[in-house]
Formats: sequence, structure tokens, C-alpha cells
Amino acid sequence: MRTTLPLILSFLIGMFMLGEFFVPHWRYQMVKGFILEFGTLLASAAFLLGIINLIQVNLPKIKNREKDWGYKALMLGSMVITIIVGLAEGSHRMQAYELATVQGSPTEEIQEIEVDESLKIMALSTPEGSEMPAVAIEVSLPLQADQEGIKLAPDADPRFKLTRRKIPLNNIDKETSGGTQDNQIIQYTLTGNKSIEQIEVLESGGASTLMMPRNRPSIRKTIAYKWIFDRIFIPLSATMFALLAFYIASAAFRAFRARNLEATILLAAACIVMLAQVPIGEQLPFIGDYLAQFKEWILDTPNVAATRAIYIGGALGAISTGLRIVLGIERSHLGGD
Amino acid sequence: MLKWLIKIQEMDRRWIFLGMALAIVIPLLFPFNQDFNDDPKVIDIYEEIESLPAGSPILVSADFDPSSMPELWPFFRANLHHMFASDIKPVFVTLWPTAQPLILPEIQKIAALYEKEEGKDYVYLGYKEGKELVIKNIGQNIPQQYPKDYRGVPVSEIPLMTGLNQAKDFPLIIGVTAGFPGLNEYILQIQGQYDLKIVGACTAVSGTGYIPFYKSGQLKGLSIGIPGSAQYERMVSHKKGVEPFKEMGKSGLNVLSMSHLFIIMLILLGNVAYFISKRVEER
Repeated sequence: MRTTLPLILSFLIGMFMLGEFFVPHWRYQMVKGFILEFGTLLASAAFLLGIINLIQVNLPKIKNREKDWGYKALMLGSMVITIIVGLAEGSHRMQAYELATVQGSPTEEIQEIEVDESLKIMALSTPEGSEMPAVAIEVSLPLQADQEGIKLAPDADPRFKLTRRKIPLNNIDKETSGGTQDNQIIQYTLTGNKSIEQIEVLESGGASTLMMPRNRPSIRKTIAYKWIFDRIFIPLSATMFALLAFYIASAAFRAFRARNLEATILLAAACIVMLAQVPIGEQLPFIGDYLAQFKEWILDTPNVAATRAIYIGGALGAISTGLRIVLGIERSHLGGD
Repeated sequence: MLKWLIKIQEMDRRWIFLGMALAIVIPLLFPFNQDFNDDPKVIDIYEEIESLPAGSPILVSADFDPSSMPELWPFFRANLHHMFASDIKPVFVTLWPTAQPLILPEIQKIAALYEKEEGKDYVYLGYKEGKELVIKNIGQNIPQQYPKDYRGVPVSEIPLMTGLNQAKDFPLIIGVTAGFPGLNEYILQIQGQYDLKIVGACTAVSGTGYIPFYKSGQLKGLSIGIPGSAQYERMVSHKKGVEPFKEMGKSGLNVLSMSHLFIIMLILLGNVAYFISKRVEER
């Protein structure tokens, strides 16, 4: 019974789903949809199973202080914290934008601002006292000139303030752009009141992001789940993938040797595709265009031929394996012998 | 001389790591302009979206994670600008749990730039686990798979979702894919069955695997890796009505150029040292 019932179920459901392509009747399609729903439920349950399995495998190792038990404890602890935080914050857990302290972002010099223009900015705003997550707003701040330079017009949005200071030219990189008066650069800083964070300049006659003041105090509660994702998961995930580049370079140096004809062809094809895939290869004098065309030929002809062969072979194998599972010939998924 | 040639071949890999690090960091610190041509596969994506009348819905499946952001994020952002500027009504879904926190804030931020209203001009249905089963259900019955959007609003009450019950109700599907499940599964599960029009962006490592689908017409357009994203970004940024945005693909192209040149140089160096040392040994 232990293996018979799953085999019967596999056969019935498998044959039913195969019939989907041959039976267009709406009742058949309705039942198929119902089965697919169960499938997504099972897939979601598999997540839970994975968590339980992770705990079952690692907790004894932590208890027995086996090798690297500290890392396993860290992994389980991180998982538990993230789950608790996510559940506690509910549907708001991912709606929040930036939070905590807005440190001074890398400063960029402001280019000259035409007096007749306004500063078009986008900012994140939450009305004071509100518990809602910040929303993006677009604001146009009219400007006017005076003897010192540029400032906000009196009718500008009162939530914003534009301050300025002069920086001697010898203190900054002379190649950065900016309006100069008497060997100085005027640096503008746009800040907002308590309800504003993360200002980004969209349009100002060529100006880019304004300098943010350093050590700006935190002005609203931290959305922890988003913080965990933005400050821990994203950098770690990106770092792990970035490591690949270095190992690929090392492997390419050691493994790509033209020891025989096949290796030479592989090597040559790899180098041509790598070179032609980037603009530098396309722009090479005399051979750039030919290189690009040859790269396209490599990708469009031998690559497509080989990939199609692999896909067809894989599909035939999948059909064969699927039929074996549906017909009960293949039983490895049931466990045991 | 043989000693030096052997030393080169057995070079400590930390020197290679250092060289690679410089090839990556220097172009980021000192960016340079490179002219590049537009791939016809990427032009096709742009033209497909341009050919849609204003108000058309598009299904966008954003399936990537932070590790594939350098390649796909520029495309995704540019695509948001393109759709909102063209008054296209996107319906977003994702099959990867790590994509939701990335894409949702960006969708809301860029939608706000174009004064688009959630529910009327765009919808984010959320993340569902189930991989190919979800895709199959998207093909057959979207409200059954997504009875509510991510906010908990029933799909039947969302104005934009009126009449959009199956994948074939969308004139175009865009897949931004970093792996499984993604474009490949959309093609396998529902493209042929419902004769859907699908375009997509993918990482460079999986790009060669999608070219056969483009050649056979199963994919109507394809953007591969950073070059594809940079080309698409440039096309979109030149379109009238698009709010200015920073083209991130260009700086990625600089890094790509330098790192590719470095790897090619390493391969050539290794082979030259190998052949010369082989000759010297034979003598």
C-alpha cells in the first residue's frame, strides 16, 4: 500500500494532465486548473518542509558542537530572526523605502544652474506623525539669483531649504565642473524638514545629485525586514556572485591551453566572442566589423545547432523519464529500493 | 628562460585576482565613453513595445535576485520608463522570492514620476511559489492563481485587471530572467500552447541558450547581459517623453570591456608561455 497508492495516484494524475492538450472541454480544463492549484499549494508546503529539514539537520550538529557549529548556529539564528521580523511587520514589510540615517552620499559638484529654471526634485515624504511608509513625491522648486549666487524663490515649497558655501578651488579637483567666482566653487546643499528624506534632483539645467548633509539624524522608525534585505542580503548575495569573476579569470588562465585541435577551436571561439561582445572589440580598426559578424555567426549557427541538439535530447529524456514515472516503472522518487 | 616560462604558467592566482580587481575598479573610478552598436534582438524588444497602442496591457515577469542585478536591473528600470512613458499598463508578477523587495519600490518610484496610479495604470500581483505550476496557471487562469494583488485587493476589484484572465489576453509578455524559473519555462509551458508573444532579458551566461528560441520566433526579442541592457537603456533614454534617468548599463559596459580584455590577455599569455616552454623542453 505504501508504494501502491502513490503509484496509482501518479498514474491517474499524470495521464489526466497529459490529456490537457487533447481535451479542450471546459470541464476538463476546470479540473486541470484545480489540480494545478493543489500543485502550487504543495510547492508552498515544500518551503515549510525545507525549513523543518534545515533545522533537523543542523540543530543536532550545533548541540554536539561539531565542526563549524558556529556558522550553523548563525544560519539558523538569521533564519529565525528574518521569519519573526517578516511575520511581525506583515504586508508593510517591503513597502518602506530608505530608513535610518541618511549619511552624506558621495558629493558631486553642482553644475551651473540657470536662474530661470527651477529645481525639479523627487523626494520621499511622510506627513509628520503619520505611521504610513514614505511615498515618492515630485516637487518643483523655483529659483532666483542674488549677489551670492542662486537661492530658492520665496514661494518655494517651505519644506525645503537650499544652503550654499564657497570652496576654494585648490581644495577640490580642478576637473570637476561648477560655477566659479574668484577661484571658488559654490556648493549647494538641498535639505528637507523632518518629513523628507532621500532627495534626488531630476532636472536643474544640468545639475546632478545635490550633496546631502552628513550625519542627518534618523527621522522615522526602521522597517526591519527591508533593512535586513537591503543591508545584509543584497550585499552578501552580490558579493558571492561577484567572486565568480575572479575564479573564472584564474580558471581561464590555467585551463585554456591549445593542447589539441578541439581545444584550439574552443579557445579561438571563446576569445572571439569575448572580444566582439564588448564595444572595444566592435570598435577595433580594420577587424572590428568582421569580428562582430563572425561572433554573430558563431552564436547563430554552431551555437544554435548544438543548443537545439541538447534541448531536443533533453526533451526526449524528460519525456522518457516522465513516462516511466507515470507508468510506475521508475520508483526512485518513492524512496527505498 | 624555461624557468620564467614555467613561473608564468604556475603564477600564484592572487596576482590574477589582483589584476581582475584592477580591471573592474579602474573603469568604475575613471569611466570612459564607448560607442556601441544596437543588437537587432534588442531593437526588436524596443519595437515590439513601441508598436503597442497606448493603454495596452503587458505582463512583466521579473525573476531575478541581487546577484543578477548588474545585468538585469538597467534593463528593468529602462523598461519601466519605457512602458510608463508610452502609457502602457504593466501587470507585474514574480516567481522569485528575492525579486519582490527589489522591484516593488522601484515600480512605485518610477510610476510616481509619470503620475501613474496603482490599480488603474499598473498592478503588482505579487510573488507566488510553484515555479512552472504558476506559469501554467498564468496561461490558463490568472485570477485563480492571483485572487488578490500584493496589497490584498481582490483582483476582481482592480480596474486594470478587467478582461485580463489569461496570458493570451496580454498582447506582449516581458520576462526579465536570471535563471529558473524564467523565460525558458514561459516558452516551454505556455508560449506554444497559447501562441504568445514573448520578449525578454537574460543574463549573459544563459543568453546563448535563448538564441535558438529567438531564431525560431518563440522569442520576439532578446536582451543579453549588460550589453543588451545598455543598448536598450540608450534607446529608451532617447525616446520623447521619458523622464531623464541615469544609464547604469554604460558603466557596466566599461567594466565588461576591461575584464574581457584582461581574461583574453591572460589566456594568450598562458598559451604563449606553454608553447614556448614546450619547444624549449623538446630541444
